[in-house]
Amino acid sequence: MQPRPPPSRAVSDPDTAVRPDRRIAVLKPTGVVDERITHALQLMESSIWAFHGTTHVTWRMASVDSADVLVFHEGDTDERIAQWKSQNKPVVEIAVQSRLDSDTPNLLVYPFRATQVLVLLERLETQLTSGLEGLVPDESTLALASTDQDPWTFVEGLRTLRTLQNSEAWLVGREARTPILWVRGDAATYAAEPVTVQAIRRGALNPSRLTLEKGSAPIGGQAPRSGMELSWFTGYFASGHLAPSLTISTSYRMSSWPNFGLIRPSPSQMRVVAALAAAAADLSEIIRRAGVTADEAARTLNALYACGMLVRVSPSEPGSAASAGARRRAASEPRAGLAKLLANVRKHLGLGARS
Amino acid sequence: MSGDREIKIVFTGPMGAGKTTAIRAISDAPPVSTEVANTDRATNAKPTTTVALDYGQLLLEDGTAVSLYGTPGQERFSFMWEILCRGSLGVVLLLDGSTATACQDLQGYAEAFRRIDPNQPFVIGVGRVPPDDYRLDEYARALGARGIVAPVFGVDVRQREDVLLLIETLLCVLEAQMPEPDHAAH
Repeated sequence: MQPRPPPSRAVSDPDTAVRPDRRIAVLKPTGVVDERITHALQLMESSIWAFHGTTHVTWRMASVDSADVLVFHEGDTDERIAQWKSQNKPVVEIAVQSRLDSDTPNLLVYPFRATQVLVLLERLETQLTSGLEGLVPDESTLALASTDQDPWTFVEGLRTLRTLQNSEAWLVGREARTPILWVRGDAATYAAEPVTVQAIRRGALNPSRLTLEKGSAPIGGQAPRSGMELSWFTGYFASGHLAPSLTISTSYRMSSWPNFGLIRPSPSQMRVVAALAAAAADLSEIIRRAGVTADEAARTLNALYACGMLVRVSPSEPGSAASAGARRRAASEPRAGLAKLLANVRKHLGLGARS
Repeated sequence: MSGDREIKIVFTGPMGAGKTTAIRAISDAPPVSTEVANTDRATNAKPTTTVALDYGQLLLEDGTAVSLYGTPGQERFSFMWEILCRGSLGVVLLLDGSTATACQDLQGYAEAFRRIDPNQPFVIGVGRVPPDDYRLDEYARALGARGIVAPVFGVDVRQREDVLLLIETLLCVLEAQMPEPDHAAH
C-alpha cells in the first residue's frame, strides 16, 4: 500500500482544530442476504456517522470510486473488492460469525461494539498515513470518545489502551471543554484533581460524558495514580448488569487480585473477589458462594473485567489449583467449626464482611 | 476447629517490613518480641530486629486463642518459616516497597510459602509506598506470571485499619475455600 498524504492539519486540540476528511465506502449487498449482514452494514454506517467530530479525521461516506477505505461483507463477490485488495488499499471486512482469520487485519464480527469501530477508524487512518498494512494501532494517535448511549465506551477504551501499551502518549478527558482527567496511553496511570478522583471513586463522575482526546501530560502537581483505580471504579459504577462482553452462563476466574489497599473494597466486593479467586464461577455461582446480591456480583465482575483481571474459563477446563486446594481444606477442616471461628475472629476485631 | 490444635496466623517478610508493628496493631496484649540490636545495618538501618519470633494473641469470646506469630526476617532463620507456618490459618506476607528488591522479595517469599503449603491462604501487604502507587499492580502481575494468584495491597501497618484489611481478606479467602458458605448462619 502506498502511503497516503497525512491529513492536512494535525489535530491536537479538539476544541480548535478542523479535522480533515477521509472517505469510506460501504458496499451494499445486491441480492437477498442474511439479515444480520444488512444490520451489520447499517451499524457500521451509523457508527461512522456517530463518531463525526471525535476521531482524528472526519470519516465521510463516499462512493467506491472516490473512497480511501472500502467496507464489505464476507460473502460479497463484487469484483471491486479483489481490485482493492490487489492494490493493497485498506479494506474492512464484516463477518457474522467468529473465525480464526489472521489474514484479515480489519475484520469486524457482527454484533460488534461502537468502540471497536472507533478503534478501527483510528487504525485505518494510521494505515493510510503510514502506508503500513495491518499496522498495530498507535495509541498516541488514538482518540476515544464516549457517547451518552453507551456507559461501556469509556471502560472499553481503557481496556483498548491497556492492550496497546503506549506509555509515551497521554489522553485528556474533558468535561464541557474543561480538562479534568489525564490518562496515560497504556492506561497504567492517570491523573486528576483530588475532587475528580473522589468523584470517580464515588461513582459521581459519569465517564460517558467525557471526551478523551490526544493531549499532553498533566501539567499540574497531580501525582500519577494507578490506572487500576480508574478502571475499577468506572467499571463498577457503569452498570448493575454484566458488561456486554460478559455473559451470565460463562465461568470466569481471576488472573490477579485488585489492589485492595487502593480500592478499599466493601465486604461484598471482597467476598466476590475471594470467591472468584477460590474457583472459577459463573454469575449465579458467584452470587451463591459469595452470598451477595446479583447487582453486587455483576458490578464487581464488571470492575474486574474493566481491570483486565477476568479470564474466561471453557467448560472443559479442569478446576483451578485453588479450587483443588479448597476441596482439600474442606476435607480436613470441620466446616462448621471453621465458619464459627472466622465469625468469632471477625466479631473480635470488629470486621464487617459477615456480620 | 479442632480443639487440640493451635490456631495461628503468621506474619512473615524480610527484615524491616513491619511484622512486629502489624502484630502490635491487632494483638490484644503487647506482643512478646525477641528483639535484639540489629547487627546487619547494611540490609536495614533499624536499631533492633526480631531474631526468633514475635508473638501476639487474639482471645475470642468463646475462649479460643488465636496466636499471631511474626517470623524472623533474616534469611538465615528461614528454617523457622516452615515450623511456624505449618497448620496456620494463613500467612500475611509483608514487604518494604521502598527497597529495590521488593518485587524480588515478593516472588521469593511467595514461592517459598507455596512450597511449604500450596493451599495455604496468604495475602501480601506492601508498605512504605503510597496505596495508589501504580507499581503495586506490577507486583500482582509478577506473581500472576508465576502462576500465583494472591492479593497484593499497599498498606501502612502502623494503621490498624490497614492490618485489619489484610486479616479480613485472609478470612474471606479462607471462607471462599469452604465448599458452600453458610450465609444464613451469620
